[in-house]
Amino acid sequence: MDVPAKLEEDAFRAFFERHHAELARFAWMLIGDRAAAEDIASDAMLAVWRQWDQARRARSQIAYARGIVANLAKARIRAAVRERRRNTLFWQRPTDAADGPDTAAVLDVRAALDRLPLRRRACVVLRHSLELSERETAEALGVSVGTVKSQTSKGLAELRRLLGAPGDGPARTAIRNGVGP
Amino acid sequence: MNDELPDRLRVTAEEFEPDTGRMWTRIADGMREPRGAAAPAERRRLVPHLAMATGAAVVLIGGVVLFGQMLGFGPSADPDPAPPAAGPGTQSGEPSESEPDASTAAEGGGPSETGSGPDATDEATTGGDDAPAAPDWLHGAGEIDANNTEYFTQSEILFSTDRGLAEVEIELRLAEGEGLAFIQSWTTDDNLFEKAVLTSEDGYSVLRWTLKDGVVVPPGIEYTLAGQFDPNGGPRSGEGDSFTITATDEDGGTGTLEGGF
Repeated sequence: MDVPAKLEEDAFRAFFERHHAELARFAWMLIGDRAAAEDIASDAMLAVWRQWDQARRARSQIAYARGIVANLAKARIRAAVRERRRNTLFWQRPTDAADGPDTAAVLDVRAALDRLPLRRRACVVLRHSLELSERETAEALGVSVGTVKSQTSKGLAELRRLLGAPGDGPARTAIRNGVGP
Repeated sequence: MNDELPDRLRVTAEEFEPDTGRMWTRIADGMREPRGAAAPAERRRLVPHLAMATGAAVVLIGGVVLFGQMLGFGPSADPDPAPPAAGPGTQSGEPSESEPDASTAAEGGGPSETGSGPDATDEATTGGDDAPAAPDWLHGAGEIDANNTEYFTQSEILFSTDRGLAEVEIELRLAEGEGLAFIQSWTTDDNLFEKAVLTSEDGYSVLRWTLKDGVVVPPGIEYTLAGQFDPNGGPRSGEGDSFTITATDEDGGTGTLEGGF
Protein backbone atom coordinates (compact mmCIF):
# COMPACT_ATOMS: atom_id res chain seq x y z
CA MET A 1 0.00 0.00 0.00
CA ASP A 2 2.86 2.36 0.72
CA VAL A 3 4.28 1.88 -2.72
CA PRO A 4 1.17 2.01 -4.84
CA ALA A 5 1.13 -0.07 -7.95
CA LYS A 6 1.97 1.85 -11.06
CA LEU A 7 -1.35 0.81 -12.51
CA GLU A 8 -3.12 2.69 -9.79
CA GLU A 9 -1.01 5.77 -10.37
CA ASP A 10 -1.72 5.61 -14.07
CA ALA A 11 -5.43 5.30 -13.44
CA PHE A 12 -5.32 8.23 -11.07
CA ARG A 13 -3.34 10.30 -13.54
CA ALA A 14 -5.99 9.58 -16.15
CA PHE A 15 -8.64 10.62 -13.67
CA PHE A 16 -6.74 13.86 -13.14
CA GLU A 17 -6.41 14.58 -16.84
CA ARG A 18 -10.07 13.98 -17.38
CA HIS A 19 -11.49 15.97 -14.49
CA HIS A 20 -9.03 18.58 -13.23
CA ALA A 21 -10.34 21.40 -15.41
CA GLU A 22 -13.92 20.71 -14.39
CA LEU A 23 -13.06 20.69 -10.70
CA ALA A 24 -10.98 23.85 -10.93
CA ARG A 25 -13.77 25.62 -12.80
CA PHE A 26 -16.30 24.49 -10.24
CA ALA A 27 -14.10 25.90 -7.47
CA TRP A 28 -13.48 29.12 -9.39
CA MET A 29 -17.16 29.71 -10.01
CA LEU A 30 -17.76 29.23 -6.28
CA ILE A 31 -15.02 31.48 -4.91
CA GLY A 32 -13.75 33.65 -7.77
CA ASP A 33 -10.04 33.24 -7.05
CA ARG A 34 -8.17 31.33 -9.73
CA ALA A 35 -5.08 30.23 -7.80
CA ALA A 36 -7.16 29.21 -4.80
CA ALA A 37 -9.53 27.35 -7.09
CA GLU A 38 -6.64 25.35 -8.50
CA ASP A 39 -5.43 24.56 -5.00
CA ILE A 40 -8.86 23.44 -3.87
CA ALA A 41 -9.35 21.25 -6.91
CA SER A 42 -5.90 19.72 -6.40
CA ASP A 43 -6.58 19.02 -2.74
CA ALA A 44 -9.88 17.39 -3.61
CA MET A 45 -8.11 15.15 -6.11
CA LEU A 46 -5.50 14.26 -3.54
CA ALA A 47 -8.27 13.25 -1.16
CA VAL A 48 -9.58 10.92 -3.86
CA TRP A 49 -6.12 9.45 -4.29
CA ARG A 50 -5.76 8.81 -0.57
CA GLN A 51 -8.67 6.42 -0.73
CA TRP A 52 -8.49 5.38 -4.31
CA ASP A 53 -9.52 1.77 -3.62
CA GLN A 54 -12.38 2.65 -1.34
CA ALA A 55 -13.66 5.39 -3.56
CA ARG A 56 -13.65 3.03 -6.50
CA ARG A 57 -15.80 0.55 -4.65
CA ALA A 58 -18.11 2.92 -2.87
CA ARG A 59 -19.22 5.69 -5.17
CA SER A 60 -18.09 7.62 -8.13
CA GLN A 61 -14.76 9.26 -7.52
CA ILE A 62 -15.71 12.39 -9.36
CA ALA A 63 -18.83 12.84 -7.22
CA TYR A 64 -16.65 12.49 -4.16
CA ALA A 65 -14.17 15.02 -5.52
CA ARG A 66 -16.92 17.50 -6.38
CA GLY A 67 -18.27 17.22 -2.87
CA ILE A 68 -14.86 17.97 -1.40
CA VAL A 69 -14.44 20.97 -3.67
CA ALA A 70 -17.76 22.33 -2.41
CA ASN A 71 -16.72 21.73 1.20
CA LEU A 72 -13.31 23.30 0.79
CA ALA A 73 -14.85 26.29 -0.94
CA LYS A 74 -17.31 26.69 1.89
CA ALA A 75 -14.54 26.52 4.44
CA ARG A 76 -12.49 29.07 2.54
CA ILE A 77 -15.39 31.48 2.29
CA ARG A 78 -16.07 31.12 6.01
CA ALA A 79 -12.45 31.84 6.80
CA ALA A 80 -12.56 34.92 4.59
CA VAL A 81 -15.64 36.16 6.39
CA ARG A 82 -13.98 35.63 9.77
CA GLU A 83 -10.93 37.48 8.58
CA ARG A 84 -13.05 40.34 7.34
CA ARG A 85 -14.84 40.58 10.64
CA ARG A 86 -11.54 40.82 12.43
CA ASN A 87 -10.53 43.68 10.22
CA THR A 88 -13.00 46.47 10.79
CA LEU A 89 -11.48 48.65 8.12
CA PHE A 90 -12.45 46.19 5.46
CA TRP A 91 -15.64 45.31 7.21
CA GLN A 92 -16.95 48.84 6.77
CA ARG A 93 -16.83 48.69 2.99
CA PRO A 94 -16.47 45.03 2.18
CA THR A 95 -17.64 45.13 -1.39
CA ASP A 96 -15.61 48.00 -2.74
CA ALA A 97 -12.42 46.07 -3.21
CA ALA A 98 -14.13 43.00 -4.56
CA ASP A 99 -16.31 44.70 -7.13
CA GLY A 100 -14.08 47.52 -8.19
CA PRO A 101 -14.88 49.52 -11.28
CA ASP A 102 -16.38 46.58 -13.16
CA THR A 103 -19.77 46.98 -11.59
CA ALA A 104 -20.15 50.32 -13.28
CA ALA A 105 -20.46 48.48 -16.54
CA VAL A 106 -22.05 45.06 -16.30
CA LEU A 107 -21.91 42.77 -13.36
CA ASP A 108 -20.54 39.53 -14.72
CA VAL A 109 -22.03 36.17 -14.02
CA ARG A 110 -19.13 35.10 -11.84
CA ALA A 111 -19.45 38.07 -9.53
CA ALA A 112 -23.23 37.74 -9.39
CA LEU A 113 -22.83 34.19 -8.14
CA ASP A 114 -21.17 35.52 -5.01
CA ARG A 115 -24.53 36.96 -3.98
CA LEU A 116 -26.11 33.53 -3.80
CA PRO A 117 -26.03 31.34 -0.72
CA LEU A 118 -23.33 28.75 -1.23
CA ARG A 119 -25.49 25.69 -1.68
CA ARG A 120 -27.64 27.51 -4.21
CA ARG A 121 -24.52 28.73 -5.95
CA ALA A 122 -23.10 25.20 -6.09
CA CYS A 123 -26.35 23.82 -7.52
CA VAL A 124 -26.47 26.47 -10.24
CA VAL A 125 -22.82 25.96 -11.17
CA LEU A 126 -22.96 22.17 -11.26
CA ARG A 127 -26.21 22.10 -13.20
CA HIS A 128 -25.54 24.86 -15.70
CA SER A 129 -21.83 25.69 -15.79
CA LEU A 130 -20.74 22.04 -15.73
CA GLU A 131 -23.98 20.76 -17.23
CA LEU A 132 -24.39 17.92 -14.76
CA SER A 133 -27.68 16.14 -14.29
CA GLU A 134 -29.83 16.77 -11.24
CA ARG A 135 -28.86 13.37 -9.93
CA GLU A 136 -25.14 13.97 -10.38
CA THR A 137 -25.48 17.33 -8.67
CA ALA A 138 -27.37 15.77 -5.78
CA GLU A 139 -24.76 13.08 -5.37
CA ALA A 140 -21.91 15.57 -5.37
CA LEU A 141 -23.46 17.82 -2.78
CA GLY A 142 -25.00 15.09 -0.63
CA VAL A 143 -28.51 16.53 -0.96
CA SER A 144 -31.73 15.23 -2.47
CA VAL A 145 -32.70 15.67 -6.09
CA GLY A 146 -35.64 17.76 -4.88
CA THR A 147 -33.27 20.12 -3.13
CA VAL A 148 -31.20 20.43 -6.29
CA LYS A 149 -34.31 21.32 -8.30
CA SER A 150 -35.55 23.96 -5.89
CA GLN A 151 -32.15 25.46 -5.16
CA THR A 152 -31.21 25.64 -8.83
CA SER A 153 -34.51 27.22 -9.74
CA LYS A 154 -34.24 29.81 -7.00
CA GLY A 155 -30.62 30.44 -7.84
CA LEU A 156 -31.35 31.10 -11.50
CA ALA A 157 -34.19 33.44 -10.62
CA GLU A 158 -31.97 35.30 -8.21
CA LEU A 159 -29.20 35.59 -10.78
CA ARG A 160 -31.62 36.96 -13.35
CA ARG A 161 -32.76 39.56 -10.88
CA LEU A 162 -29.18 40.46 -9.97
CA LEU A 163 -27.95 40.63 -13.53
CA GLY A 164 -31.08 42.50 -14.48
CA ALA A 165 -32.13 43.87 -17.79
CA PRO A 166 -29.97 46.46 -19.56
CA GLY A 167 -30.56 49.85 -18.07
CA ASP A 168 -31.91 48.37 -14.88
CA GLY A 169 -30.14 50.84 -12.68
CA PRO A 170 -31.57 50.01 -9.29
CA ALA A 171 -30.58 46.38 -9.58
CA ARG A 172 -26.96 47.19 -10.26
CA THR A 173 -26.90 49.73 -7.47
CA ALA A 174 -28.19 47.11 -5.12
CA ILE A 175 -25.44 44.79 -6.18
CA ARG A 176 -22.75 47.35 -5.73
CA ASN A 177 -23.90 48.32 -2.27
CA GLY A 178 -25.05 44.95 -1.17
CA VAL A 179 -23.28 43.37 1.76
CA GLY A 180 -23.19 39.64 1.71
CA PRO A 181 -24.03 37.63 4.79
CA MET B 1 -32.72 37.24 -22.30
CA ASN B 2 -33.57 34.81 -19.57
CA ASP B 3 -32.87 31.81 -21.72
CA GLU B 4 -29.31 32.96 -22.18
CA LEU B 5 -28.39 32.59 -18.56
CA PRO B 6 -27.49 28.87 -18.60
CA ASP B 7 -25.29 29.54 -21.63
CA ARG B 8 -23.60 32.43 -19.91
CA LEU B 9 -22.94 30.23 -16.89
CA ARG B 10 -21.35 27.58 -19.04
CA VAL B 11 -19.26 29.96 -21.12
CA THR B 12 -18.07 31.84 -18.04
CA ALA B 13 -16.81 28.63 -16.47
CA GLU B 14 -15.04 27.60 -19.66
CA GLU B 15 -13.21 30.90 -19.79
CA PHE B 16 -11.08 29.70 -16.90
CA GLU B 17 -8.24 27.51 -18.09
CA PRO B 18 -6.55 26.18 -14.97
CA ASP B 19 -2.79 25.69 -14.83
CA THR B 20 -2.54 21.92 -15.24
CA GLY B 21 1.15 21.73 -14.36
CA ARG B 22 0.72 23.69 -11.18
CA MET B 23 -2.19 21.52 -10.11
CA TRP B 24 -0.36 18.27 -10.77
CA THR B 25 2.71 19.47 -8.90
CA ARG B 26 0.60 20.12 -5.83
CA ILE B 27 -1.00 16.69 -6.11
CA ALA B 28 2.28 14.88 -6.78
CA ASP B 29 3.77 16.45 -3.66
CA GLY B 30 0.88 15.06 -1.65
CA MET B 31 1.10 11.65 -3.29
CA ARG B 32 4.59 11.14 -1.90
CA GLU B 33 3.01 10.75 1.52
CA PRO B 34 1.77 7.27 2.43
CA ARG B 35 -1.90 6.74 1.82
CA GLY B 36 -4.31 5.94 4.59
CA ALA B 37 -1.64 6.19 7.27
CA ALA B 38 -3.62 8.52 9.43
CA ALA B 39 -1.46 10.15 12.03
CA PRO B 40 -3.72 9.47 15.02
CA ALA B 41 -3.73 5.77 14.24
CA GLU B 42 0.04 5.82 14.32
CA ARG B 43 0.06 7.54 17.66
CA ARG B 44 -2.31 5.02 19.09
CA ARG B 45 0.09 2.28 18.13
CA LEU B 46 2.96 3.93 19.89
CA VAL B 47 1.61 2.75 23.23
CA PRO B 48 1.86 -1.01 22.63
CA HIS B 49 5.14 -0.62 20.78
CA LEU B 50 6.70 1.08 23.73
CA ALA B 51 5.21 -1.46 26.06
CA MET B 52 6.69 -4.39 24.24
CA ALA B 53 10.06 -2.78 24.29
CA THR B 54 10.11 -2.33 28.02
CA GLY B 55 8.42 -5.46 29.23
CA ALA B 56 5.12 -6.88 30.33
CA ALA B 57 4.93 -4.81 33.48
CA VAL B 58 4.62 -1.67 31.44
CA VAL B 59 1.84 -3.31 29.46
CA LEU B 60 -0.11 -3.76 32.65
CA ILE B 61 0.56 -0.25 33.87
CA GLY B 62 -0.25 1.17 30.48
CA GLY B 63 -3.46 -0.79 30.42
CA VAL B 64 -4.48 0.51 33.81
CA VAL B 65 -3.66 4.07 32.82
CA LEU B 66 -5.50 3.73 29.55
CA PHE B 67 -8.47 2.18 31.26
CA GLY B 68 -8.51 4.93 33.84
CA GLN B 69 -8.45 7.54 31.17
CA MET B 70 -11.27 5.90 29.31
CA LEU B 71 -13.34 6.19 32.47
CA GLY B 72 -12.32 9.78 32.89
CA PHE B 73 -10.05 9.21 35.90
CA GLY B 74 -6.58 10.42 36.55
CA PRO B 75 -4.42 13.06 34.98
CA SER B 76 -4.32 13.27 31.26
CA ALA B 77 -0.95 11.61 30.92
CA ASP B 78 -1.68 11.41 27.27
CA PRO B 79 1.25 10.21 25.20
CA ASP B 80 -0.17 11.95 22.16
CA PRO B 81 2.18 14.40 20.58
CA ALA B 82 0.77 17.54 19.07
CA PRO B 83 -1.59 16.83 16.22
CA PRO B 84 -0.02 17.04 12.81
CA ALA B 85 -0.33 20.18 10.79
CA ALA B 86 -2.51 20.14 7.75
CA GLY B 87 -1.35 19.27 4.31
CA PRO B 88 1.27 17.14 2.71
CA GLY B 89 4.68 16.66 4.16
CA THR B 90 3.67 16.57 7.79
CA GLN B 91 4.06 12.87 8.43
CA SER B 92 7.74 12.62 7.77
CA GLY B 93 8.60 12.54 11.46
CA GLU B 94 6.62 9.45 12.24
CA PRO B 95 8.11 6.07 12.98
CA SER B 96 8.31 4.66 9.52
CA GLU B 97 8.88 1.07 10.58
CA SER B 98 5.31 0.76 11.77
CA GLU B 99 3.69 2.23 8.73
CA PRO B 100 3.66 -0.62 6.23
CA ASP B 101 1.51 -2.90 8.37
CA ALA B 102 -0.39 -0.23 10.24
CA SER B 103 -3.68 -0.61 8.48
CA THR B 104 -3.73 -4.37 8.34
CA ALA B 105 -2.49 -4.91 11.87
CA ALA B 106 -4.84 -2.29 13.23
CA GLU B 107 -7.80 -4.36 12.19
CA GLY B 108 -6.56 -7.14 14.41
CA GLY B 109 -6.21 -9.63 11.62
CA GLY B 110 -2.67 -10.81 12.16
CA PRO B 111 -1.20 -13.28 14.63
CA SER B 112 2.05 -11.36 14.68
CA GLU B 113 3.18 -9.57 17.76
CA THR B 114 2.14 -6.23 16.34
CA GLY B 115 -1.35 -7.61 16.10
CA SER B 116 -1.59 -7.60 19.87
CA GLY B 117 -1.35 -3.85 19.98
CA PRO B 118 -4.87 -2.95 18.97
CA ASP B 119 -6.24 -5.88 20.93
CA ALA B 120 -4.68 -4.54 24.07
CA THR B 121 -6.25 -1.19 23.38
CA ASP B 122 -9.60 -2.74 22.71
CA GLU B 123 -9.55 -4.73 25.90
CA ALA B 124 -8.60 -1.72 27.89
CA THR B 125 -11.53 0.06 26.35
CA THR B 126 -14.07 -2.65 26.80
CA GLY B 127 -12.90 -4.23 30.00
CA GLY B 128 -15.23 -2.25 32.25
CA ASP B 129 -17.69 -3.75 34.67
CA ASP B 130 -20.62 -3.37 32.36
CA ALA B 131 -18.90 -3.95 29.07
CA PRO B 132 -18.32 -7.49 27.80
CA ALA B 133 -14.90 -8.33 26.43
CA ALA B 134 -14.61 -7.77 22.72
CA PRO B 135 -15.21 -11.01 20.82
CA ASP B 136 -12.30 -12.37 18.87
CA TRP B 137 -14.38 -12.62 15.71
CA LEU B 138 -15.02 -8.91 15.44
CA HIS B 139 -12.31 -6.51 14.31
CA GLY B 140 -12.38 -2.77 14.15
CA ALA B 141 -10.12 0.26 14.19
CA GLY B 142 -10.64 3.98 14.09
CA GLU B 143 -8.59 6.23 11.88
CA ILE B 144 -8.61 9.84 10.90
CA ASP B 145 -7.89 10.34 7.23
CA ALA B 146 -4.59 12.04 6.46
CA ASN B 147 -6.49 14.78 4.66
CA ASN B 148 -7.12 16.40 8.04
CA THR B 149 -7.17 20.17 7.92
CA GLU B 150 -8.66 23.19 9.60
CA TYR B 151 -11.68 22.82 7.38
CA PHE B 152 -12.10 19.16 6.66
CA THR B 153 -11.74 15.96 8.60
CA GLN B 154 -12.81 12.40 7.94
CA SER B 155 -13.14 9.81 10.68
CA GLU B 156 -13.12 6.23 9.46
CA ILE B 157 -14.08 2.97 11.10
CA LEU B 158 -12.37 -0.04 9.54
CA PHE B 159 -14.43 -3.09 10.29
CA SER B 160 -14.38 -6.78 9.49
CA THR B 161 -15.83 -9.96 10.92
CA ASP B 162 -14.89 -13.64 10.97
CA ARG B 163 -18.54 -14.69 11.10
CA GLY B 164 -21.52 -13.79 9.00
CA LEU B 165 -23.46 -11.07 10.75
CA ALA B 166 -27.23 -10.93 10.74
CA GLU B 167 -27.31 -7.64 12.58
CA VAL B 168 -24.80 -4.93 13.19
CA GLU B 169 -24.90 -1.38 14.43
CA ILE B 170 -21.83 0.77 13.99
CA GLU B 171 -21.65 3.97 15.92
CA LEU B 172 -19.19 6.82 15.43
CA ARG B 173 -19.05 9.39 18.24
CA LEU B 174 -17.22 12.65 17.76
CA ALA B 175 -16.86 15.31 20.44
CA GLU B 176 -18.50 18.45 19.12
CA GLY B 177 -16.26 20.84 21.04
CA GLU B 178 -16.76 24.40 19.91
CA GLY B 179 -18.45 23.38 16.72
CA LEU B 180 -18.47 20.42 14.42
CA ALA B 181 -20.44 20.53 11.21
CA PHE B 182 -21.45 17.29 9.57
CA ILE B 183 -20.75 17.16 5.86
CA GLN B 184 -21.58 13.66 4.71
CA SER B 185 -21.05 9.98 5.37
CA TRP B 186 -20.12 7.08 3.14
CA THR B 187 -19.37 3.39 3.29
CA THR B 188 -17.51 0.99 1.07
CA ASP B 189 -20.67 -1.07 0.63
CA ASP B 190 -23.92 0.81 0.37
CA ASN B 191 -25.63 -2.44 -0.56
CA LEU B 192 -25.17 -3.62 3.02
CA PHE B 193 -25.43 -0.50 5.10
CA GLU B 194 -28.27 1.95 5.40
CA LYS B 195 -27.37 5.60 5.09
CA ALA B 196 -25.98 6.76 8.40
CA VAL B 197 -28.32 8.54 10.79
CA LEU B 198 -26.88 11.61 12.47
CA THR B 199 -27.86 12.68 15.97
CA SER B 200 -26.42 15.03 18.54
CA GLU B 201 -26.16 13.51 22.00
CA ASP B 202 -24.61 15.09 25.07
CA GLY B 203 -22.05 17.11 23.20
CA TYR B 204 -21.26 14.40 20.68
CA SER B 205 -22.20 14.12 17.05
CA VAL B 206 -23.18 10.50 16.56
CA LEU B 207 -23.41 8.68 13.25
CA ARG B 208 -25.11 5.28 13.27
CA TRP B 209 -25.07 2.76 10.49
CA THR B 210 -27.34 -0.27 10.50
CA LEU B 211 -27.79 -3.13 8.08
CA LYS B 212 -30.34 -3.09 5.35
CA ASP B 213 -33.22 -5.52 5.75
CA GLY B 214 -32.43 -9.11 4.97
CA VAL B 215 -28.75 -8.74 4.26
CA VAL B 216 -25.92 -10.58 5.98
CA VAL B 217 -22.42 -9.19 6.37
CA PRO B 218 -20.09 -11.81 4.90
CA PRO B 219 -16.94 -12.71 6.82
CA GLY B 220 -13.47 -11.82 5.70
CA ILE B 221 -14.13 -8.50 4.01
CA GLU B 222 -12.96 -5.21 5.38
CA TYR B 223 -15.44 -2.37 5.27
CA THR B 224 -14.88 1.28 5.82
CA LEU B 225 -17.57 3.52 7.22
CA ALA B 226 -16.69 7.17 7.30
CA GLY B 227 -18.05 10.50 8.41
CA GLN B 228 -16.82 13.78 7.01
CA PHE B 229 -16.99 16.93 9.07
CA ASP B 230 -15.96 20.53 9.09
CA PRO B 231 -14.08 20.53 12.41
CA ASN B 232 -14.35 24.31 12.87
CA GLY B 233 -10.65 24.53 13.53
CA GLY B 234 -8.33 21.63 13.14
CA PRO B 235 -6.66 19.38 12.32
CA ARG B 236 -8.67 17.00 14.47
CA SER B 237 -6.76 15.02 17.07
CA GLY B 238 -9.37 12.31 17.61
CA GLU B 239 -9.06 12.63 21.35
CA GLY B 240 -12.44 11.98 22.90
CA ASP B 241 -13.76 10.38 19.71
CA SER B 242 -14.80 6.75 19.75
CA PHE B 243 -16.64 4.03 17.91
CA THR B 244 -18.77 1.08 18.93
CA ILE B 245 -19.63 -1.97 16.86
CA THR B 246 -22.49 -4.10 18.12
CA ALA B 247 -23.00 -7.29 16.16
CA THR B 248 -25.16 -10.40 16.15
CA ASP B 249 -23.96 -13.39 14.20
CA GLU B 250 -26.17 -15.77 12.28
CA ASP B 251 -26.41 -18.13 15.27
CA GLY B 252 -27.58 -15.38 17.56
CA GLY B 253 -24.25 -14.78 19.28
CA THR B 254 -23.62 -11.17 20.13
CA GLY B 255 -20.53 -9.09 20.58
CA THR B 256 -19.52 -5.50 21.13
CA LEU B 257 -16.28 -3.88 20.14
CA GLU B 258 -15.29 -0.39 21.18
CA GLY B 259 -12.31 1.70 20.29
CA GLY B 260 -10.92 5.16 19.82
CA PHE B 261 -9.12 7.24 17.28
